[in-house]
Amino acid sequence: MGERPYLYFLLQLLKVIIIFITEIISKSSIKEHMSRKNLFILIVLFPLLHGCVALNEVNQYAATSTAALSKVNDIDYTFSDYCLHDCELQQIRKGEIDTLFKCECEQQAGKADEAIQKIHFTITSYLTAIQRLSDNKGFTYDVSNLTAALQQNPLLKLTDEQIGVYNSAGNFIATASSIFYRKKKLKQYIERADPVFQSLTETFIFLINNRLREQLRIDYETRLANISQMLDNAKNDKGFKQVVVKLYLDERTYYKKHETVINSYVSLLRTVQKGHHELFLQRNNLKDTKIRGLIKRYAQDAKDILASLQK
Amino acid sequence: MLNPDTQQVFELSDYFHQLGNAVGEYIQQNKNFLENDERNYLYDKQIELLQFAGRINLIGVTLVFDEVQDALKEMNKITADVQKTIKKVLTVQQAIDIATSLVGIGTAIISRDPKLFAKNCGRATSLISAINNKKT
Repeated sequence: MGERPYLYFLLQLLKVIIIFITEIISKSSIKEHMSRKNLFILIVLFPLLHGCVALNEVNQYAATSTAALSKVNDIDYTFSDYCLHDCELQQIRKGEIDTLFKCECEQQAGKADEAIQKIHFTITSYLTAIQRLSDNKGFTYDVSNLTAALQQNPLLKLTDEQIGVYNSAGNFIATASSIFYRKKKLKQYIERADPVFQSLTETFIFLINNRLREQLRIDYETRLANISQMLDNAKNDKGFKQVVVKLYLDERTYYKKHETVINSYVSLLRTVQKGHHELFLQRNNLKDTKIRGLIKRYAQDAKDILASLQK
Repeated sequence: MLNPDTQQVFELSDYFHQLGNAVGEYIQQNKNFLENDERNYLYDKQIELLQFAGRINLIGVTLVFDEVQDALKEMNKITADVQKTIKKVLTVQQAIDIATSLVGIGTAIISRDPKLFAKNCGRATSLISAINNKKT
């Protein structure tokens, strides 16, 4: 059944059908039938429930991480922005209007931004898939047609009350089977993905925290040097000096604003990275309340940082 | 871990950055002793050094991107496998529908109803074909 979940579910459903038929043939009363039914359901469900995992926590982690990663746009500063600012400064420093001046930012800066976007997209796509697979809402089943078909069978003579009970039990069994299968697959995928996930997120953090931050700082310091030169050359022109000081204040605000967002985003990325590694380390103990609490905490940390970004 | 060559590109960028800052500090400390031309010359050099640093940093980032291609491919492969599993689990409802048809076939045999038999056989066949088509 490893790669064919539907055959396994079919087998479970057939088991239940056999149980129902046996029950009816033995002509037991509804009350007796109900208590035996509970016993049968327990027997059928035991192997399914035994492996149940904290899917909710994995889902919560993946959902918060996806939302956290989407905040990359809040940084609102790209390598192309640097290139355009640099190009603008070159024109300003020429001190003349040159309509033919060209800014070639597509090649290097464009490729650098593409690197950020592609790594971001790859990590997000993986987390979105994990979120979908761990989402119980997407995997509920309806066996009402099946029980209606059973009711039409002249040999079985099922009452409406019995049909109602079988409906609920059938839906429950099908959903529980899916939980068991999804938990098993999630564990396998988290195990397989973690080394690559850690390496990719580390590279992503390095690019944002180290290289994009460096680019922003170089951008700011280059403009600051230009402003200082203007100020030193202004001599006694007080009005012009005031304009230059205003330029400096604007540049400083721009730099600080973007640096703050980079700090928050890097904290988010670190939380997402650690959270996945914790999932990997605890993949066999995901039922444990303490572990569930720990995974929840990562999701909560990410939520808190997200909230601080939205302020 | 970064490739040593890429690491060196970033070190070179950082070196130009530090050099630019050192020139800037020199200007600020010796402003009163410098002639206008000397001061402007040094400002020009400071800005040039910082611009070099920025451009070399961009080159380094594109090199990192080339380095992570294999990791990106592996991650995309895992994502595709997760998506396949999602599709497979979604076939459970189809399995329930097949079971419904099979029960219908049984009922048709017992009640000797050829119409009901043909209807349920047709339904079961089309459901199974649909699953097989999705696989290929």
